[in-house]
Amino acid sequence: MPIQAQPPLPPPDTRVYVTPDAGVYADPAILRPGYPIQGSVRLINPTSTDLAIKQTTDWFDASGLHITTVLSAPERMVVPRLGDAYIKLVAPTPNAVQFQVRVEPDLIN
Amino acid sequence: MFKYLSILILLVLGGCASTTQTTKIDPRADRSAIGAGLDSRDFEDAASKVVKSMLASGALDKPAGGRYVLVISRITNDTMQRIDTDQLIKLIRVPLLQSGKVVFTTAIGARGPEDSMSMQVRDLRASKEFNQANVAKQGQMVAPEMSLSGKFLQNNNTLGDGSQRIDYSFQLTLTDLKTGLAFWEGSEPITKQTSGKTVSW
Repeated sequence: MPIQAQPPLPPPDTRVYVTPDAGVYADPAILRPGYPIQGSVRLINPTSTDLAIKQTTDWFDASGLHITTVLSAPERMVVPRLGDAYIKLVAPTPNAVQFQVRVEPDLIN
Repeated sequence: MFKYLSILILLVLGGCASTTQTTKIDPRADRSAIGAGLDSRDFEDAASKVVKSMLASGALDKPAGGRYVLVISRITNDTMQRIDTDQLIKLIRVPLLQSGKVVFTTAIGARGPEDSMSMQVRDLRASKEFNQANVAKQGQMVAPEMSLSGKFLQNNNTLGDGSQRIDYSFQLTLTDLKTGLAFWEGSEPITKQTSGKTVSW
């Protein structure tokens, strides 16, 4: 019986940056258009230890200008071992149309 | 003799001074240790989550378009800490205002008007010293349509290993003032585990 080839991995979502030392990887962001733009990013922990991470989501308007908002405050999360966790995305203003998520290890947790 | 004693005291006091240098912390790269109490990181995190929940719920989407007028009602601090609830509420008000879905009235509030000037300027109606063009007329103030009330709770529990678990909870309710119905409710937990000897106030 011929071995079926695995489907190719989806291209990485450039809007979600995971630092190499975070230990988790991220699925592409899933978005629902409209206002506020809503979405989520699934983080997956393939290791056998819980991983403390810090995520920061920055929002930008159509011309690329950064929008300052409390919704961009760093959020501390734990991605459970061999499990997943979700980053919730909600646009802070009607002008917010682009975003950038940064996931890094939480060095103080 | 007195001169030498003074120098000695100064040297002793100088020796007791802490060598920790004061540094400015950037909230985006804040790696300072976490305490058992609540700090600005907890407030920002809680505020961010409740605002996301409120915006995502659709409770602030006015069916006919436009913005809802909100008033801040009572926010109760039921924790063992002295918390300036205004500080937290400001972290919620600013992004809600930014969202373009609501405006807040400061003319009334649970503990009286937040800004009493809205009423005070109306005393100028009788004054001949003021050009009346800018003086507010009767019936121009806008009454709130919704109110935001809340509570901050704290529960401490000693765990089996002697450590302490502190559960804080920040609860908010958005009430439609015409009907008295709660259109949205949110509860954001902040849980910490610390030494059994740590006090959280």
